[in-house]
Amino acid sequence: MRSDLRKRAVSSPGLLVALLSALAMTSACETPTAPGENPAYDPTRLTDGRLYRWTLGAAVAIHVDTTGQGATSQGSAPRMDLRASVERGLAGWTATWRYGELRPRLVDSAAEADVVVQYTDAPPLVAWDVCTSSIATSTGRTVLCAAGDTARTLPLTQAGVPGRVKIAIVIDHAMLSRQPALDAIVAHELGHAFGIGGHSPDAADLMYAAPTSLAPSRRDAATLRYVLHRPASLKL
Amino acid sequence: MLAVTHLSADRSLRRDVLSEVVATPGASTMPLRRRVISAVLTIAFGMVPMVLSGQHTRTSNVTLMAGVGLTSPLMVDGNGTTVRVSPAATLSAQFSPDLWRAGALNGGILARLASGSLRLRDGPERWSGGRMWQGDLLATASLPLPGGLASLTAGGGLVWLRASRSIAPLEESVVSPAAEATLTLWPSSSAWGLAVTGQGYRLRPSVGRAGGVARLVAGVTHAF
Repeated sequence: MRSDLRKRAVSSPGLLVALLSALAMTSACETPTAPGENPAYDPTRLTDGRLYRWTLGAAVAIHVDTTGQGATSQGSAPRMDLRASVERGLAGWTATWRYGELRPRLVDSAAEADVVVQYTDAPPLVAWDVCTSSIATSTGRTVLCAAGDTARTLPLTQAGVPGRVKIAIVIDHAMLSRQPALDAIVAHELGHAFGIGGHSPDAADLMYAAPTSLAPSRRDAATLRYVLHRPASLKL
Repeated sequence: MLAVTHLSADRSLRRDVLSEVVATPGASTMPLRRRVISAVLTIAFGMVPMVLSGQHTRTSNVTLMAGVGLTSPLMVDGNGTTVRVSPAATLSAQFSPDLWRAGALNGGILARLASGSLRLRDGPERWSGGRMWQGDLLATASLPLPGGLASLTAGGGLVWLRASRSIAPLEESVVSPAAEATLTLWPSSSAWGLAVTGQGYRLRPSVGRAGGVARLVAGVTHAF
């Protein structure tokens, strides 16, 4: 019977075309899939169980204020580059996203920023002390303020400018002596800014409370991907 | 395409046209380089290239199609994201020389380019993944259907996919085998027709399980 079918296929061009057509249809039977992921650690432990994140696809504007770092350039201490640390941190986190979930970009003005990053000894760009809730490590602090189910806009200190800052990151560079240490702290705080409201118990992870890693680990990446695709109880 | 195909079915016609190219006054006034290229193409593909000869011949078997493509999801993520392509503008050109004819079947090659945008969705949230391009290169076999007003074309080859941003499963350019079938309707003996193509290809994401993607392209076609 098989040889008969082969003869018919060869002898009948219609059957040959039909077989090729059937091949086209059957090759598309199952959609490509990626498995769902669980967080490697609790991403809400520091926020009393509240999961916060940005709207998917949002262009998150980040302003880096490099003033206030004069203290570290005194004596023999090297001058550190906060903007470079932010750029490296963004590159690390962006590489962990699979679907362009966020589009972080650097902006020149705090007035157009969603996130501001600055040193503790710089004149504050936002009045973040109005907010009591913050996520802090020993040298870095990420501040966001809940107002119901949304994050409150942190008021700019510059008079007459409304602003739209939702998160302030403050770095105590006096505790840091080298650029890699600054890179680690900044990348860690950016992890908080993007939605990880917890710390990893594993010292190899970037989101460990005292980070030494310079880039998100697989566990950090899985945790953030989990957060980005869950309903937020606190919308940024 | 069908109307033109029927006109050029006789292999002896090709010889006539070849001698025309060499012997006609128009051809003799062509630069030697053009005449050589024209003769080579005619021998290789059984077609007098119109651009080179400057005249429309009845052995030209080129079909152009413009249409819109609809594609099934490129990816479904267990975390909730679905990656789709918006309806994509599609242009294709099929070349079916007489030399590639076997009985009722007419062989050919088809090149197609499409561009749409990646659309992502997770529950109520939707966002854009930037632009996506798809290029197809396929070998085809066309068969006129009884009645002479329709033809069926099957093809197999490769598709090339590229996105402007890093979106799974297109973090990098992808080349994948593909198969397709096209039904073309030719109202009366017009050179214009309506075509519907069903295409299937496989995608293997960097993370997860490979699967198939189906695409439906509908459009207007014109035979030259």
